Amino acid sequence: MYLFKKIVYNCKHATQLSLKKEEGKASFRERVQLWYHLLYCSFCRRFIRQSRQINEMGQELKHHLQQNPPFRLSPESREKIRERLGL
Amino acid sequence: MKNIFLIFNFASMNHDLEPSQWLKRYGDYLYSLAFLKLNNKEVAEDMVQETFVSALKAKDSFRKESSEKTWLVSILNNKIIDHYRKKDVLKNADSYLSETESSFSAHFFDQATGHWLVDTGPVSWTEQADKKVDRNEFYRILQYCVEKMPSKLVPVFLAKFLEEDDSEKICKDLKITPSNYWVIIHRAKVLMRSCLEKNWFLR
Repeated sequence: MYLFKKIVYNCKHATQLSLKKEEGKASFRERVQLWYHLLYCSFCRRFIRQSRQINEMGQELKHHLQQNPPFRLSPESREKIRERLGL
Repeated sequence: MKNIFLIFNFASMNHDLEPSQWLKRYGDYLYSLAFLKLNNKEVAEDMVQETFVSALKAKDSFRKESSEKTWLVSILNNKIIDHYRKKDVLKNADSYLSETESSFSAHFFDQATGHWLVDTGPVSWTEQADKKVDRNEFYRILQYCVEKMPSKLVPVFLAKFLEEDDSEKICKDLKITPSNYWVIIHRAKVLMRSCLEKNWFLR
C-alpha cells in the first residue's frame, strides 16, 4: 500500500506524473499510481484535460505567428538584411 | 477565379528556393518566433539575419521535399539553440530549480498534503461566445503568459509547446538532465495554465 499512500493526496506529484504520461514516458508503476490518484481527484483530471488543450494552443499559436506575425522587423534591420543578402 | 487559385497552388508547390522573396515572405514570421523565444529585439533581429545568411550559403543542401519555410525555421531554431548554449541560459539549472522550489510549490499546493490550493487550483474553463471570436486577443494573452514565465523555463517550454520537440532532443540541445526536464515542464505547464485561467478564461 506504500505505493499508493505517497500519491493519494499529492496533486503536485500526480500532475508531474501526468505530464510524463502525456509524453509516453511514465513507467508502469507511475501509471498505476496516477490512475489511483485520478479515481479520487477531479482537480487533477481537469488539469490533464487543460494540459492537452494548452498543447493544442501551441500549434494554433505557431500557425498564428505564420499567418499574422505579431512582431515586425524594423525598417533598419530589413535594410541591413537586404544588404547582407546582396538583394 | 478558379485559375487564380491554380496559379497560386503552383507557386506554393514550386519547391525551388527564392532567396529574393525570403525577407518579404518569412521575415516577420521568423522574427516573431525569435522574439518570442529570446525576448530581446536586437538578438532576435540578429538571429533572423544570420538565418538568411546561412541559408544562402547552404542553398545546395536544401532538400526539395521540405518546404522553403520549414527549412528556414529549422535553421533559425538551430541558431537559437546555439545562442542559448553560448549564453549558458540553463547553467546551474539544478540550483535554480531547488532555490525556487518552495515558493513555486507554496503558491499552488498545500504544503502538508500536496493537494491543490483552492485559490490557484484548476477550475473549469468556459469561453464565452464573444471571446471565441476575438482570436487575436487570445493570442496576445498566450504571448503575454510566455513573456511572464521565468526565463529559465522558457527555452524548454517553447521547444515543446511551439516545436513539439521530444524530451530527448530538448535535453540534448539544452544540456539538461531528464529529471530537470520534467521539473521544468511541470512548472511551466502549471504556470501557463494558471496564467491563461486568470487572464482569459475567468477574466
